[in-house]
Amino acid sequence: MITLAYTPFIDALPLHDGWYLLIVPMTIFLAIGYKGVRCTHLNRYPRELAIFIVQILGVIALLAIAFLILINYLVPLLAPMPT
Amino acid sequence: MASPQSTDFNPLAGLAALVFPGLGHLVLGRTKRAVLVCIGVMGLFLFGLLAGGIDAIDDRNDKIWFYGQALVGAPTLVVNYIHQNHFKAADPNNPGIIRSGYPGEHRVVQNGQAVWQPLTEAQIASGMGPPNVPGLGRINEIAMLSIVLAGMLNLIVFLDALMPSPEKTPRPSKAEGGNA
Repeated sequence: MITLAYTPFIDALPLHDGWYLLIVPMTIFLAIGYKGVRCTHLNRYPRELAIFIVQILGVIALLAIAFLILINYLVPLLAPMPT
Repeated sequence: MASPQSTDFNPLAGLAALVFPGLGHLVLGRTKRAVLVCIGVMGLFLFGLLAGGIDAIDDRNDKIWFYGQALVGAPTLVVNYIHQNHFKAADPNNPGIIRSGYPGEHRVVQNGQAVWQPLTEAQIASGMGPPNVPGLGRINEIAMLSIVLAGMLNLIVFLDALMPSPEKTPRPSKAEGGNA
């Protein structure tokens, strides 16, 4: 019998409210692989890896803040909704 | 196997990189980089599967995404084969359409062809249903994106294995007595 219980790697993760948290592990894996190829000296790998992860997550966070301000404050100023 | 410092055009390493992530750098003798690349690419790949389930790889319904995902190599092709042949079945009203199961359906094989069959209320209550729950919305997007990123990363890895960049040793810093 096939049941509806969650099966890892088969069913989708029931994490609809916290989907944005998935960006963090994705960024870490991306940085590990990218710096594994592009890092010129492997003895500098941990430092370059940490900087790259912080850069990606920092830019995403800044973009999130910028869009939050745009949608919640600037767009209502430009096109006010009727109350 | 090439020497660790080899920077010659290496089609064997390029081919190996396309078969499995990190294999190209292993052929080049760059074991550390091979391990890091394998962790990065396969980490993204498995993370995408963990988030979106097997439905995150689908060459029928998400064809454009699949082209990017296929750059991971054999893992994507194997998972797609399993998805198409063991998790999908024919629509009972239109056998020409092969699709994922809806809630309240059950996959059965009749005369060698898999078909979706509706379940009774009692069967649904007992926990029966389709073999997988497809990802929807943001979760599905993140899952497919993660596997596409794995493919794009593997493309960079493939190019680096095909035309290896030279391994450099770091310059000694001033504190170590080097000339800056």
